[in-house]
Amino acid sequence: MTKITYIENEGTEHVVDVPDGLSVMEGAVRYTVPGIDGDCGGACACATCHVYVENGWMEKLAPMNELERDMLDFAFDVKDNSRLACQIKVSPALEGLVVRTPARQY
Amino acid sequence: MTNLTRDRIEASPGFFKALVDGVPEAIVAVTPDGTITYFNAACERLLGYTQAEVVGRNIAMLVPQQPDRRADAMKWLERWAHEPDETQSRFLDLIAQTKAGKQMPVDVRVVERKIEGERRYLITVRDNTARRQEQAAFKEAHLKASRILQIAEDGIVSTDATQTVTFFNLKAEQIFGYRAEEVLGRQLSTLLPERYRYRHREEVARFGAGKVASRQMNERGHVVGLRKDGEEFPLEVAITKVSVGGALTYTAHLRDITQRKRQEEKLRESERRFRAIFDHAFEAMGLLAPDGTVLEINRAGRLMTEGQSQLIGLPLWDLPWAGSDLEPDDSARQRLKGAIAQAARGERVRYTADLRRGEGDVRKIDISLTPVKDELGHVIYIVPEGRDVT
Repeated sequence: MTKITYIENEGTEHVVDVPDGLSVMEGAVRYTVPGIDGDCGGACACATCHVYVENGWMEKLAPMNELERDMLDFAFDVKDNSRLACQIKVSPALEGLVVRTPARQY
Repeated sequence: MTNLTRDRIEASPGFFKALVDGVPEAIVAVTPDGTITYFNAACERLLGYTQAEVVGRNIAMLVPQQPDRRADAMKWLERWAHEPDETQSRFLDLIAQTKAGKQMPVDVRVVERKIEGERRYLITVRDNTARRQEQAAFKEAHLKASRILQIAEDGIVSTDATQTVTFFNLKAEQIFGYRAEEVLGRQLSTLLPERYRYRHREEVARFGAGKVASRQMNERGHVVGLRKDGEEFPLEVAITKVSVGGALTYTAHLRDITQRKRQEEKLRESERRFRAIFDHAFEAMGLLAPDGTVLEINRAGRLMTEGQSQLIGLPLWDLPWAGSDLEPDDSARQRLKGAIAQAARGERVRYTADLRRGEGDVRKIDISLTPVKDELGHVIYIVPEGRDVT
């Protein structure tokens, strides 16, 4: 279990223990955190699990692959710290990770 | 119309032009650099432009780059043209802009073809607004329902008709010590000790076949659960069933009652100890409401009175005293009544009364009345004691 904090766009925080091996998107679905949809089910074929990674964490994540970068074309308000939550695998190294959900997913 | 005529019409050059112009599906053709070369009537209706207004111009005028989104339409059209139709833009919408300036999410399908040696992208465009709105509404409703179930204070476990677990909420995880992922797809009976599994399975199936929609499983004794670590524990379970689309779903609503059972056992033990002291005391002892009504009376107390079993609920001064009255006239009863009223005001009262048992047998009884107060200082009980001090 790794502690992940999801902060909704309007500020509500969800601090939850996500089983290692799940993705940050699956963790959100598991705890029904609003604002992360995951329409394609984690196949990196949509952009509805777009999140902003909190300061300092971006460098600790496995780098983005090309497909994820492409899919982010379809996310709204993409920033330097944008990632697709389905592509971030939870592991003890991410203990304390904080992600924020964007204003809209589509 | 003869078959011959029909074949001739379908084979005529005009037929295909009429077909693409007439189908209720918006069709656009563009060159590899995005120049629009064809725009059918359905497309004119969808986007509000006439063919003349768009042919020769770049497709970016129809699917302009959004200020808050990176997607470049032509790049994606080119890419999708080389993907199988069913994977194209399945979850991805381009955003089209009508002549009137209205934006709409559009589902596009695209193929690349060579026509007379020239490459063209042939594109169909559908307004996806309604579908996206429906999806959003559905997602919201679904999220609400699953949030309620997921964070419920009862453990909630759902199964399909074959009793395979399909839902396992957070409280259920806490109760059983399993993560949902470890239980989903397994039999519900995994959550019970081996010896109960067969019978439980049969019982659930019988419930599924019956007419009652929900039932409290521990109507017939308590249910024993099995945690991941092998510990058995008492459970309170209600089971419900719903049938949606012909598929039966069972849902168990569970409470771990280990704590409650422990409390109950503690209470029972405390009651046993109290009874042991109270009933085996040598002294006559009881418990009164402040108005003197007998709530409890111990064995010695019953012996001092007539030993009747039905003493509870009577005022103490009206009890039939063994063989006689406290004193021959009513003054003894009045004295006891007065003493109880005094105790009800919070004072401890003690006096000696004469209990006559027939001719010449006078026993002196040391009577005490002790008020018992609650946290606010109100008298809630009076403890009467009587000791033979003859």
